[in-house]
Amino acid sequence: MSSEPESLDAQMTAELENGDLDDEGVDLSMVIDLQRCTGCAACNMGCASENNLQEGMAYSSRIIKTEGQFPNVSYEYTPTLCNQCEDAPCAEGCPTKALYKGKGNITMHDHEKCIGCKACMVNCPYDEIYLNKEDPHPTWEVEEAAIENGTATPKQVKERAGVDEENAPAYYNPNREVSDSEHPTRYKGVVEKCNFCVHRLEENELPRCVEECPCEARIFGDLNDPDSKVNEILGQYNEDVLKEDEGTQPKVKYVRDYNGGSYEAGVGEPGLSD
Amino acid sequence: MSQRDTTPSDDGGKLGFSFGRRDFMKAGAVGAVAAGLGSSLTSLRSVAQADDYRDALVDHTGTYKPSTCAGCTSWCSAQILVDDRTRRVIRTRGHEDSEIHGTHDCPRQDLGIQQLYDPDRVTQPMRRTNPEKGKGVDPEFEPISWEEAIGMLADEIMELRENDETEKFMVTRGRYTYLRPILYSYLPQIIGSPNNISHSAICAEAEKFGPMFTEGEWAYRQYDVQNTRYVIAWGADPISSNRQVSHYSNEFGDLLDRATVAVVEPRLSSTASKSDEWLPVEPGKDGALASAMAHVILRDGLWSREFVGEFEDGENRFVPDERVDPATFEESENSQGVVEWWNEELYDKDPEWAAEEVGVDAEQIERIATGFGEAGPQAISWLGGGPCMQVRGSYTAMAIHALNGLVGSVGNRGGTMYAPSTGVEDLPAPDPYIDEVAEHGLNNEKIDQRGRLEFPALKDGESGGGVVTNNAADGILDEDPNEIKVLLSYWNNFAFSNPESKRWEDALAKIPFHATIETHASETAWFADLILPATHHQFERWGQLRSTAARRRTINLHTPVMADDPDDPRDVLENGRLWDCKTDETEIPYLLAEALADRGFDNMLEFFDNEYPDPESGRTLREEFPGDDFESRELRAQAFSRNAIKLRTRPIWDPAYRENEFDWLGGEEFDDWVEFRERGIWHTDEWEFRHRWPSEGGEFATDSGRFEFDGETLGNALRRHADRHDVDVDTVLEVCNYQGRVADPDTPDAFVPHYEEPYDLGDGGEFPMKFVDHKDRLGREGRSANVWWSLEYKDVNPGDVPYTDVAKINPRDARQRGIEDGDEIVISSPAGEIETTARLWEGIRPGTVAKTWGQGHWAYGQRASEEMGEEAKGGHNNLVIGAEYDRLSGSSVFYGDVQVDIERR
Amino acid sequence: MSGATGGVSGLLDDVPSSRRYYAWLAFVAVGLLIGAYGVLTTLIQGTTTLGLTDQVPWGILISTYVFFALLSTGICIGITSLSSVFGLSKYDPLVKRGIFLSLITLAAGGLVIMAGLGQPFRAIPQMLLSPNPAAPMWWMIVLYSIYGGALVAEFALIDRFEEPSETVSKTVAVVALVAPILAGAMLGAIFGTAEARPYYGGMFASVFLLVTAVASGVALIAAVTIVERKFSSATQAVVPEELITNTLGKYLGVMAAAVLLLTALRHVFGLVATSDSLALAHQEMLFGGMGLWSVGVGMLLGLLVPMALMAYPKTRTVNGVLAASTLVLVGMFASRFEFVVGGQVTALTADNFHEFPVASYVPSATEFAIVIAGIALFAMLYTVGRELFDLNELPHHEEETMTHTEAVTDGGQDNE
Repeated sequence: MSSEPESLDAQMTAELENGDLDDEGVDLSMVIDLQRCTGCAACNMGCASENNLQEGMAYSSRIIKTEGQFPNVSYEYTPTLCNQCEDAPCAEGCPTKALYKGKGNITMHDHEKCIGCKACMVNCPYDEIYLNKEDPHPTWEVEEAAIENGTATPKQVKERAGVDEENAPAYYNPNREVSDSEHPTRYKGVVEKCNFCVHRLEENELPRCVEECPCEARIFGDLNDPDSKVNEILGQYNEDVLKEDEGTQPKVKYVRDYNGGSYEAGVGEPGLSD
Repeated sequence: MSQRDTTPSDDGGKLGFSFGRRDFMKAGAVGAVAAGLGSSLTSLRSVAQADDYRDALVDHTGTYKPSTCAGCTSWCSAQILVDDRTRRVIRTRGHEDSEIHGTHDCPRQDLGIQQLYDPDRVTQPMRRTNPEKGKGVDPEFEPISWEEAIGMLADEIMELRENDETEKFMVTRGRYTYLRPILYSYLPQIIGSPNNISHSAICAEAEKFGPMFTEGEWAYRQYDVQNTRYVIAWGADPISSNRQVSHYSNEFGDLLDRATVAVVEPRLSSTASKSDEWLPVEPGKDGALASAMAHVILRDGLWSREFVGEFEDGENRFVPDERVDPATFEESENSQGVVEWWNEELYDKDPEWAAEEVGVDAEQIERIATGFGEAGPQAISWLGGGPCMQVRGSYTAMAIHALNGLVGSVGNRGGTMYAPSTGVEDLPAPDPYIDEVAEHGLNNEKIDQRGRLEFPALKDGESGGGVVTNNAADGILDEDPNEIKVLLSYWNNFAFSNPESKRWEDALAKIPFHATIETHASETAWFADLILPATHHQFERWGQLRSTAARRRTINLHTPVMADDPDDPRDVLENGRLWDCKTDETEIPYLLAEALADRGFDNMLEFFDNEYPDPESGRTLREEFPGDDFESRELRAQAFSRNAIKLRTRPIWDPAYRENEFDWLGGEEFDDWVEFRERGIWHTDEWEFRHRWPSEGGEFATDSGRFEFDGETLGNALRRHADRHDVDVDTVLEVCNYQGRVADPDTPDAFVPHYEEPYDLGDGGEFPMKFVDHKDRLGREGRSANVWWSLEYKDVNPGDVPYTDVAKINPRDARQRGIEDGDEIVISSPAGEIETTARLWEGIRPGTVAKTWGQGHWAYGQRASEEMGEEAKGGHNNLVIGAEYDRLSGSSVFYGDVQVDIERR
Repeated sequence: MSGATGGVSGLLDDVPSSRRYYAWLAFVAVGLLIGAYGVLTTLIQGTTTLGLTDQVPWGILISTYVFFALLSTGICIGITSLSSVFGLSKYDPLVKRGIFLSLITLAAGGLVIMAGLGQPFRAIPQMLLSPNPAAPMWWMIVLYSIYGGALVAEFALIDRFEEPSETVSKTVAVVALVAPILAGAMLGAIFGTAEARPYYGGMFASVFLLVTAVASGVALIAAVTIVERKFSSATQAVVPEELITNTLGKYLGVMAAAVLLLTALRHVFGLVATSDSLALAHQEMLFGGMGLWSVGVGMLLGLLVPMALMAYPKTRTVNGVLAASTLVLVGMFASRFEFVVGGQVTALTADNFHEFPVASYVPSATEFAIVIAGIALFAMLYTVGRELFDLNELPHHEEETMTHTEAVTDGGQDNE
């Protein structure tokens, strides 16, 4: 079930297996190589399927910029997700410690403590926290079909697919059930955010977006492990983070440029800030 | 159904008030304070589920089963993660054993899951009850059993046979697997109709024309991006669409380190946005650019001496505006005619001329041509559909591909290659089962009129050798060559996917009986008398496709992944599919064969039963499942499906057969069926560089056996077509709207690769802008419009907007027309008009308007359409693209020539 | 005078007003019904009933809470403590009613913010079980709780005890001064520490909110007292006109001026800011769709006009003060909304998932219903309170209270 030993995924998974997520000082980070990224959104779909995200929520999202004037135009696609800030304003402002710096230095969310005050959403500079205004996936409870007796109702599809979990789509992914740190589907009144797929990390699997990326643009590992892949990459290239001036010290870092080519000598790097 | 284990759950030793999730749920249940009030409902509900929670990832308890994604013609080998408790498909990824893409799939493959579980899928056969057929007319479908449905179809076919008019039967094909001959070829042959019409000519046949008439390959190329140093992509967008996107996406980051990448494309495509050079040429003029680049390469002596040859005295006589004496040039044995190409076309096509013509800087052309030439032979001229799916696209295709010849990258390291031959077997053919009635029907002309003077369709150099898909609509409407009474369409949506698709709506409405095999109630299905629900190719059926890249070709299996034992037809029918669906290419033909036998015509059933036994056990279908009740027939149909795929792949897994009965050309070897079936992918050996070069003892498949810059093979093909119609080649070219002529000093030479001016569909005064259609990165060949991820992430197409169908317009053009971002606009052409939303974007050439193909459905599903069966969501490109053809290849025109106007609504 | 009957008798004196009184009760009842609808539907359906988005998670409910909480704070630090802590006895007649108003505005604020929480029933337990001392919101709630307690004690001391111990009263009074100052500051810090949203002005948010708190507090107590004087002779007897026109009137005018200055400074600094998004935010709030509220109501009607009214002696009459204080209250309500929404109006990222560059927010009907719930609760509590307690009762320290009152009353008559 694992890829060839030399594959990047395999190397990073090996790092996870050799390390222990619960160890003090594990400092997980994701480096996104923009030159490798082709802006295809596979990460976003993988994330949505792994976390049973309801339409309109995207732990893994993107910032897209087109600059310049024809014919000198630069297009830049920046994949985004929760930056797992070292200095996390969302956790600092959370009155009940529902958001906290947890294992692997991940910014975790404990849905049981969340009172839905939304202070985290006001404090996050990156718009990476989402509120469940209602129970997720209401559309999958619908009992009307496009063509009566010819197509199925969403509810029937769920039954057919063996999904008895409420607030879930027909292709419900039970993986989140495994972890005590999260709720499989979430429910109304609490916020949610990316946690590097902690339920996968606990089982020594990479975050889904990292595995899903067809371009191997996402490098994941422990900043405190000098031999980790992330450190290798960060040693090779200048790193960049989103909104550096916010002082949040993101653990999601970017290297190289989306416009990997040199259009002409002297054309510098497009900036990364929003 | 998932079993509930009631063992007390552990809470990771949490104490006191800090609950573990499970405790919390129970506490919530007790917490009557909040009972009945929002926040607590969740907790109450979750108590039940808490007991049922998993303690391991599906990634660890479930099984990855092999299959194939046919979301585009990359046809990536896939692995499908199936949940152990519920048999639910949880995830799909690239096949870990694939040397081409490994586990890396592209986003289209992931969309498959939302298709599989799409509520708007047709769940069982339906019959039309409203005799009136038309867009927006409710067919009033009513469910019927498979037995009834197949019976209806059988009755219609029997009537044709009884009246000796079997040519009035027609099969249309869309996406397929390589079990296709059964339904697409053998079934109509046994019934007796020549009318099996594929979608190929609305795909990219013109793209095959270039390599065909330079090096004799009517096929798509693969490109050695791992070793190349320069890439010029012509309307190709390899990290976004077609072909082997998974491979090229994964390689692209490294490619940029290694090579210079230039993209020729009027819009800033995904690939262009990451490349070194963007040449936003005026649509339809790529050929001029190609000629100018060839001019520079020869002028500056950058051609490959080894592949092309050299002047006897080594002095470069390729001097601008001067013809060259052929005698002074010594051709290499690998190619011929470069001097003729120069003399007839290139000698005066310098960058300045091209710059004027195509609207990009001469010095950029100069720079790229030089870079390309210097990088040769590790240089790729990458031909996409854009420049050649045009009225005069065939010659552009030749010119672009000929550049590979000039630098000697043909079949070479870092260049362009084809697929090594594979170890699959042809399916048993039906010849002995074709009776006189059928013979008589088969002698008729095909409904798409291929081969007529105005439709040379020179596939493989044969007059009428290729399909003219879109013209079949006119054949049907005009009953020329004959009427069509019974249509069986599968896995296509011609009423949507053909340019000027209105014609197909009329044609379909005209056909008395139409059965369609599809997953969704598409626009085409809306005209059908019978909808037969199809299994989903990625998850629910047997089949085989192939991938080609990284110097290899792989043979990829489709398997019914939700069945525990796919070899057991019972299991497959019970668990292998979400609804009561059947496989188009195998099960349905088999059930039809039984129904025809019931009605006294048993040739097809005989054919299937005699020729498709299980190659392992030798058991015939009837031996495996005797009995005449319909269920036994369904089981036999599924067994037939399984046997067919085993026969198709037999050399790969059956050592005895491989060694004794098959011309085995190498590649992976398996020892038995189950071993291969469980792996689901087979590799050829690596493509051997330069093995087709005559200098290396090989030969090209052209008439001359060499790479031709002089179009010798094309000349022969054109002459054959002309002779067939007792005219000369010039007449053929005139009728087919080309500018080239034989030996006319004022026109391009008819045979060498050359530039022809765009043939505009529409008057430039009334329709001043060029329409740039391009395919959706999340398109799944037009089948994903009902899938929410494809809408939510529509902005992966540069310039597009989530959930919105937009036309990308340069702000300069918009300003002139008083159009602002987000305005509702109308795009009109001689063919028709569509309504859409304006998106002002700098990434598009002024004077052109670009629009992603795939929106504008008025059926297919509740997300895809505004009002299912009634109102379209967004605008459909094919309504403004006229039905014209690149007649030499038979291709429909999508690009380059489409003139439109835009105005605010 | 005997506390229990004071209010009632005050009413009975004034028979013609009783019809209006019942109309008032009906009005309050309707308000409570609408409010109950809003609160309950939100509890059952979830915050999907609110107009909030992932980009504008805080809307009119938060601003209404801020409005009420700061009213409470303002009265306490701006009026009652002047008497109870600093012994400015001229404010004595306002103390008991002031404390009571502080209590019920706090209650109203509490209701509104609770109704807007995703998980209201978890709020209190989790604050206790899982406190986060790093979070201003946690401190705010702790401090407002202490403050609430102090208010109850302070009120009880006046209402229930004939001779409360001086030290106890003083201690309670000091707590009731310090707690709200810190609480208000923390409320400011909730916004101020949101560095991603410079619109809130960092630590300046606390200063700004405290100053505006006093302005709104003075306005509320002035308005209520004036209305009471119209209904009840008892109030008339206790609260001299001079206290209203002269003291409260000028006080209100000065505060309005101060707030106007601070508000203007906020916007000027914002508009000229180098940060495009900050400048855009202020433009949006001043000249965009919100302009009518933030400038028209919040600044002109709510601050400039009252300031003018109070500046001119001619308009500084009882009714003038009533008008001015009412305007200030309305204006404050609007400017709280401007303050809260302004920090979220410019999108933080150009994510195609979100609106960019400006995020839109329109309060839903349910949100308005919950706002009404707060106002109705306030009205009900006050109506009940004035029946149960003698809000005209003076705090009993120094015996010269009576004479003092008379003296003032005379002064008042002189003015007539």
